Amino acid sequence: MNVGELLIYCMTFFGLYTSIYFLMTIFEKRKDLRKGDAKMCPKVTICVPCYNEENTIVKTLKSLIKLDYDKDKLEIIVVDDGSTDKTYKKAKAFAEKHKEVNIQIYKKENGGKYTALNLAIEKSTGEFFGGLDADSFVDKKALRKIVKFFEDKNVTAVTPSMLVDNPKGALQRIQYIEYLLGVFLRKVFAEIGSVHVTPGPFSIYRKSFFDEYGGFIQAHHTEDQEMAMRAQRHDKVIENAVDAYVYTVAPNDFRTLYKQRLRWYRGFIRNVIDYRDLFSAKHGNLGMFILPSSFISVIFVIFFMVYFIVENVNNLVDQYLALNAINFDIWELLKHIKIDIFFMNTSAIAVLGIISLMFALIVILVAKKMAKEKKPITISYILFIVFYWMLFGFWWFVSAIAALFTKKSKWGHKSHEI
Amino acid sequence: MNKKRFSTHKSITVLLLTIIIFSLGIVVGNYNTSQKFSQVLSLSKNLQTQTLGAEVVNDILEENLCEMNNLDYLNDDLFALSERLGYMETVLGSENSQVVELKNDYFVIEARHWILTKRKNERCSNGDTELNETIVLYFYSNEGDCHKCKEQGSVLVYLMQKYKGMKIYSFDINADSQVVRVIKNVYDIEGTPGLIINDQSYVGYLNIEGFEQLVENQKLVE
Repeated sequence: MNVGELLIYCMTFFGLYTSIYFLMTIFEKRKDLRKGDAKMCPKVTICVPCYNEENTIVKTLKSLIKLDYDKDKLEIIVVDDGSTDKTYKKAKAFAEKHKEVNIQIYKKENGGKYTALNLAIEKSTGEFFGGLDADSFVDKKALRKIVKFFEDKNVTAVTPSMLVDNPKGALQRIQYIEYLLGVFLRKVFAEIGSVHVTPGPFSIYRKSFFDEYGGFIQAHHTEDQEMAMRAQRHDKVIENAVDAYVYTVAPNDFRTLYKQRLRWYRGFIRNVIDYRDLFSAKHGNLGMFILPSSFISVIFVIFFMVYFIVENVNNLVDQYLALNAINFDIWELLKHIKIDIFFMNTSAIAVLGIISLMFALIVILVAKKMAKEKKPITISYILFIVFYWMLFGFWWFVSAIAALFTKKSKWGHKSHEI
Repeated sequence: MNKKRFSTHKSITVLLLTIIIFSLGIVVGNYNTSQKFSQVLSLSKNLQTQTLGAEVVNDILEENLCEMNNLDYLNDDLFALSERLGYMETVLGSENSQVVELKNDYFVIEARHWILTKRKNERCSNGDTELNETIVLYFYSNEGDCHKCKEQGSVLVYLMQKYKGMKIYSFDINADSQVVRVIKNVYDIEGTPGLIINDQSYVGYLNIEGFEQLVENQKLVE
């Protein structure tokens, strides 16, 4: 057995273990996945931090005022973080038009998303506080579903289910399936008390948490990850409302997506280093299982990607040379080609590969059901299972290098990345 | 109940389930491989018997050699066996003892077949060496020291398909086989890719045109 084969065996075993663990968790809680709507209606403040969002700000605000929630219990704070376009004007006009809802607009000098959120925390009067990026839209029922969890006094934060808004093109479709998986994972993590990201769009916090532990910090441009880890460090409970849907606009070009992922994963690595004390038995599943396995899976994927590339480049070069030697007269070879079942790969690695694909498909189907996604399975699901890991490996590979070897972020310090 | 608490019970249950599914995958995969291996083994045994039979028939009825068509059928089987052996080698690794043993058997069958074909050609052809009657012995190495072997193999398969009737017998130069050693010494093959084309040795890579030219030249010499 060579190193590559050993790697594949270990990876498959690890992948199977985590898939079974996650599926079992959902299966155990299957009757209790949805909590229904809240009866209580406490005051909630939603901050919309924005930086040059003139195209989407109105749609975002519209989705907020359509929330199925008492209007006098909803406080919307728009913080324009030094936009150079018409964001402020558009938000202001919207607030004028919708006086029935408490919408406050603030404009400040550009200081980064976390500073906009902190300003809103300072101004807020709600018992609960959350953000909604100006490229995201909430489902009408989302807030009620989330608030339901706060009936339990121990709950500090609740995350929603994030989905891609109106996916078009290959990249957005891939992310669409990825976000579906995210719905599944977020719920699993919440069920085993291991949520380590409270995504920017519509994660709601008990405001007293900020009073006690402070507001957002820059946190390597991933303030939402840092906040969740901070809550975990203080042993707080973070829940997930699986049927509180938030739709977000996913990047549709490779460059933007690449930058986004670099920021997320690089931020994740840096934050985990900052919060390395979470890796301990004291933090239960998070410290003993989820964080270590995140790292293991990243290492596996990176190694596997490198192995896969090296192996296949060698094969491709050999194939090229072999064809070149016969002057690319492929026709002569094709004339004699015979399809023989004998040469179909049925070795242990191939069988394990098929089992892994089946588990991946089961996880996606469960995720689809949890997100109440009705659209049929298309070819993009299969393409996702077969190719996504390469993209994922590439992002992590670059992010790991960026996290370990660059001191400062290359991207606009104070802008609001998606 | 505290959701954060690490559950040893659950972890062990999942571990057991994973081990069961994982082992099942390995058992099924290994079963498939062993099935394929026995298929190759029986093909090899069959060829051995048939070659031996052909030799015996040839010894008894020497003058009938020219009418013996079954040598060509055997040649197809020989090619099928070599392809399957190549596949098993990639699946099980060239160091696998079963693979090594089978390969050595295969070289013996090849050598016997080669001798019979050579004898038949000498006795029955009109004396000219045509490309489609060419007999080639090909020495390759799988140990990473033969950079041109992949290309040479590709050229030979191509030629074999282009010139029906051309016979190619391939030998692993590093094989621990007496047959391989003797042929190598008799024909002075000291490197790879090494070729014996109608009894003429050639060491080094030979492309399609070079090969065809070489056979044409042999014809002129005759």
